[in-house]
Amino acid sequence: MNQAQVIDRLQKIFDELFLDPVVLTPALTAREVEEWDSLLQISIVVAVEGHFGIRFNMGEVEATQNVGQFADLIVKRIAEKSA
Amino acid sequence: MNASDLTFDEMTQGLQNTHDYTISEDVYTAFLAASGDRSPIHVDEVSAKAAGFEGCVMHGSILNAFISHFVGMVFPGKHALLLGVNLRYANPSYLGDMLRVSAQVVQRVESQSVIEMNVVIENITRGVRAASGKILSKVRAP
Repeated sequence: MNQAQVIDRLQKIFDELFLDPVVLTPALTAREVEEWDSLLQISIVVAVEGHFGIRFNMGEVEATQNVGQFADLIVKRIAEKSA
Repeated sequence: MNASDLTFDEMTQGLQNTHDYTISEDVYTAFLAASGDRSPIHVDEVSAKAAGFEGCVMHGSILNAFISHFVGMVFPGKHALLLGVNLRYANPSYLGDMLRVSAQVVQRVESQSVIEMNVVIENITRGVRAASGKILSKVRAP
């Protein structure tokens, strides 16, 4: 699975979590979306771990700067899982 | 009662717990005072029966109050920080009903010290499900 495919799946997760529609792009950051606060961030991580069957390490999600980097992290975790 | 003190590490996948609650007169009147929700279906027996209920329907959010107690005092207890509750009310509850809250850890998010639990609330008095849903809670370090 590549970055674009992951973002496509992320879009569906975001559509369920956010009240206002958010169109995901690789460059999008949390700061650009008013609703995307620390509590919603936790819900995103919970949903993503459940959806993809992966686990993040402490601090690594917070270290990503935008949706593209977050998607790349997911791609990496999926690859590790299937390796 | 003293609050439980289960840690994130102790809240393992599949762990479950239950606790019983009663919608007593004290609970009902305190919730009426706190919420101010005096909709006829909740306070007027005649209106409630005309709407097809056995009597005054207890506020669904009383169940949320029980969830608050359950998470903060029982499971996991004092290290919990409740992040979200998503309840679907299945059947009405009435004054005096005893409810059994049962929850099970279904997901642990290590990186956030967050647990997700499935919760079921059975109405023991009436033998029906009162509500079910999901709880999201952070478990802070002791």
